[in-house]
Amino acid sequence: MSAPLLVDRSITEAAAALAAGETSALELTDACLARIERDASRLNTFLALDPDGARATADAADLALARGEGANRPLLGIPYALKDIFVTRALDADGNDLSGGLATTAGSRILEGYRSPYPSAAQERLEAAGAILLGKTNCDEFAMGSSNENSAYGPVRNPWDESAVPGGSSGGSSAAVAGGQAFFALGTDTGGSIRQPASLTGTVGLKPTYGRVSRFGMIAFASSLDQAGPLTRSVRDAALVLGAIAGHDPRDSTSVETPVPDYAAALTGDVRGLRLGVPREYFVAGMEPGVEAAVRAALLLMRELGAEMVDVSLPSTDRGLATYYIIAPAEASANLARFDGVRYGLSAGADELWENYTHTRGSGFGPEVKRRIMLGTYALSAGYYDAYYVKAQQVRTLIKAEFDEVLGTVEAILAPTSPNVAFPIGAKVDDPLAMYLNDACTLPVNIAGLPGISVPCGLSEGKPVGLQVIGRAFDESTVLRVADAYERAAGFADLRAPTARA
Amino acid sequence: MQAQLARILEAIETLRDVDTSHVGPTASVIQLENVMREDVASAPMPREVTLANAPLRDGEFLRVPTVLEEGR
Repeated sequence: MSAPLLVDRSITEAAAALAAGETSALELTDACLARIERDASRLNTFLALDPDGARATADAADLALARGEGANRPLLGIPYALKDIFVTRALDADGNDLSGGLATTAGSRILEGYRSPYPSAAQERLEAAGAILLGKTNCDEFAMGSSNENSAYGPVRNPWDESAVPGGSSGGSSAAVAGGQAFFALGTDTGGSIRQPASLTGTVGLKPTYGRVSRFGMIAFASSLDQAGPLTRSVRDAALVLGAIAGHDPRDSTSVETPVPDYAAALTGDVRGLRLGVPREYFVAGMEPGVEAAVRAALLLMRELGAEMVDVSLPSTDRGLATYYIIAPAEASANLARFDGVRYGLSAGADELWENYTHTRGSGFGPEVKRRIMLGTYALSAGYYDAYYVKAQQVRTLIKAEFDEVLGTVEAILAPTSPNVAFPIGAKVDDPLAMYLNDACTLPVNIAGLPGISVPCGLSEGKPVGLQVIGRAFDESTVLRVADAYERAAGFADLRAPTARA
Repeated sequence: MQAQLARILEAIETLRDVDTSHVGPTASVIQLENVMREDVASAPMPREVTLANAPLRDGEFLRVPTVLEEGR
């Protein structure tokens, strides 16, 4: 296995090359743009690009690097992409189009061409960190999906196998990072939408604790579950990006005022004496044998590294799916009521208001979004509210209590991220339930609001498998420490997709 | 779509078997208390910016399709 090209390497390695003067931010940006030019239309990774703006930001970053500002700004001069669910400023103070401003669509026709008047907290923080925004990545419509096939702008192809899905809903972000088109990307994770695509594309995907990262400017899907986080090529990179985006934001009242530690400093490589739980319920029936073998091998390796492996039980795991598919659609049905064809977005232009609502929403939303709005509205309707919505919230209490109990005796939990590797495009589109099962191992973590990461743990049938590390609330440091120790010892950090070639 | 929704509902209804007689509902995992801020005046978003994405406008107003019709 030859060493990857610089454009396919980690942020940490690119930053070292910048510090040593071996490359420039402009060279890194041009290398990403060249890879985008070569592959992005085929893989359908990007929905909007700003090459000129990226080059201008790169020039500014190179000046800052020359002044020695790279020392404590690890993302200075590093090109990245944002999932098209984060709004990006595209209007000036007079309401005119900003030159190079990026539209925001959430993967939906109903927002086609939408120009945000303000930036998301994520864009602001990464801009302040000196990172270079290349463009907006494709995603499932309103982040609802596990394969990126629900995007109104077409499916994304997996760089490992272009007939297969990249996972979802952050599929454009995962494929861009796996395919050398951006050094990192932000995604959002409501039931697994960062971790599952990371697993299917051989990248690292971190969902922080609910409340760790501001959701300001993140188009809402399910507000009690949504959380933003990075997709990267190494665990250390995920620590660096989390450090840049984490922290309280007065504009998001659910963001928590807990200090942001130095996440990279937690990466000691040492897990000796750490107690790691292995929940038996996560090795589910229907899990692919190759996936189970890769994950079991990872568990053995952690034991060899000196961690104490503990069998644990999370008995309500199999209730996660039903709980999630009440709570998430209920919240979505309320959040998506704002798309009314009056103030912004698509409008059917009907003469009468009610007709305008039905025509706008009927033609603007895709089938999965409609399914979830209907499910959610049903679950919240009078007469069914207690039987569905309140019941799901009660089971949520049980699921969270089980995690709390287990995480009182172990420092972190190890599990598969996804029960399967990347599947062929089209294989599950007619069976929503089969699609939902992709997230059986990830969505309980959102229900409990905990941090979780997926780190590559080998290949099955030539496609990547992910190991999931789940931790205590606001203890991303331990999650990252465990994943990093595994990554260093396992030797999969340099695995790259076939697109990683000159 | 009807058949798909029926199957999903069937899967969701399995929650009925879970004994939740002794547990309260969880709406949010963080212990949210009312979040207050100082009542400080600040510049609102300029009108032109607010209206820039409007599908239909009439001068400085959003244009809305007929809401009330006679006899309704």
